[in-house]
Amino acid sequence: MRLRILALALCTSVLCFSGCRIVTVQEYQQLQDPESPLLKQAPEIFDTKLTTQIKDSALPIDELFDKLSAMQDFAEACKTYGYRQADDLQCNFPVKLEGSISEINSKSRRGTLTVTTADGTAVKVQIGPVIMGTALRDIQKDISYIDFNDQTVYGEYGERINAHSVEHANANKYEVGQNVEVYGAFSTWDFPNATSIRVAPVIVTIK
Amino acid sequence: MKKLSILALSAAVAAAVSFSAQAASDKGTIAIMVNALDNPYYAAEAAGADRQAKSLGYDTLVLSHNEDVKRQNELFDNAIGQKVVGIIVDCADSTASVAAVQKATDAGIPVALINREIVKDGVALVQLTHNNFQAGSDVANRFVELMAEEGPYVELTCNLADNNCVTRSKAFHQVIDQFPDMKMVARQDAKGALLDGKNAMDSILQAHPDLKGVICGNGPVALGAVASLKSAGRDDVVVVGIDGSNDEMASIKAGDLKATAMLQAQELAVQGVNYLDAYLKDGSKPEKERIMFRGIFIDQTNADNVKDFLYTEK
Repeated sequence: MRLRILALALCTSVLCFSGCRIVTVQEYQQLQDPESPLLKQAPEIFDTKLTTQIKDSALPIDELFDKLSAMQDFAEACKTYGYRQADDLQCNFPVKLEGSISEINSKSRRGTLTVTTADGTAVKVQIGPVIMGTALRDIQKDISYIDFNDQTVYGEYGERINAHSVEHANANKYEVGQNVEVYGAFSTWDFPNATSIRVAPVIVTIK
Repeated sequence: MKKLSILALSAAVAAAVSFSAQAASDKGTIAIMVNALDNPYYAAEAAGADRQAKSLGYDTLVLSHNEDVKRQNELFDNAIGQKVVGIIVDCADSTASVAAVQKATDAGIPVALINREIVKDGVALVQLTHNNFQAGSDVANRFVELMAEEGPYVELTCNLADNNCVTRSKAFHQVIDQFPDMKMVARQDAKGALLDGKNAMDSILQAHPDLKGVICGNGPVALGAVASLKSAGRDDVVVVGIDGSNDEMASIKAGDLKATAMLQAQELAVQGVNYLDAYLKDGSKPEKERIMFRGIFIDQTNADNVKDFLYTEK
């Protein structure tokens, strides 16, 4: 009996002092395949780096369209006013919209606000709850696929960024006629026009 | 028609092989290994690599392992024995192929992997793969739109033992599951084959006659589902897939298949040869080992631009 108690005490002390740790099956799985830290950091990256990057580089939509219409080469236009990680990907343009809400579509889960500028340009802004595309993920200059090396996790990161965009956009109550200021991004394969783009917002402010 | 196009493509590859055997080159031989040459996707990979290698002055050896790891291992041994200068391979398995690739690398033969990756970094010269997640998301987005965000649907997966198929399925669900009014009433693994796709659809259709849509993990399965629905007179069901074969293009143009994402099989193979060539010339390696190629979304507006897994803007 004493021997058993001694053995138990020995085992316990070995476990306590050897650096060994007892973990649950779930913890073990996480240790085997740890979640990318960038997934957890997505909201923080959105609020700091992404928002700053877009605010610092966005042109008002009418000015952006004017500048793009003066260019012939889309690759060059993307390099000058947008960003993409590789030449065979869509180009992501940062943009600022100031105008009044002319239409609200909340029937679809891919809900949108239509914002019409003083120059009469009407552009759709995605308010979710489902945001289409990955413009807000792909415009980020310091985060790319290579930071994940896993298509699914990279997709999940994009989804978390989009979810945070929806959270921000839906902090407001929208009505037709309200004046708003929007910063965001859109993706396009070619020179854009107002009807073809869908802006994913990082900031929507009711004026 | 499908058989004819497969035969034509296989014949072209076979002719290319026999020609390459006759014309010896100073630059040496590149071995090209794919799954099966009677499958249009793999035949397109082999044809793309073969054409590019020859245009750069190499001889070629086109081989198929039929997704058999043991056979692939023998092919690697033969290639190493024949002192090929490089290997392009769409490997038989992500894990078991590591040893074969390592063996070639240890023998001083650079290996470029196309389509299917291996789990280990630093063994191959380069690993070129499709962005299956992006392709799956693009197709799922159109599927949701065509379904008007609601209704019962079915998922036919391509082959859940293949990691690419698992990734596509995850992408489908990341999009579709955000629409609570879309209800998945059945999910079945159709093994990536047309007949399995048709058989699965036949039985699911009997159990769920009210279904509105079918989302498929690859092209053959989608065409199987289309065949089943057509024979049941159900032209109201939305079918989408991923791959981009010539037969899928014909189906899209006929209005049966609504959308797909074309995987750039030939482009991957061509770039794989280019990376081998650069390495063989001066030892230069790509900036990063794993490189992704996007799937090109295809519907009736651009189906004419696709031939043999090659997209050419018209």
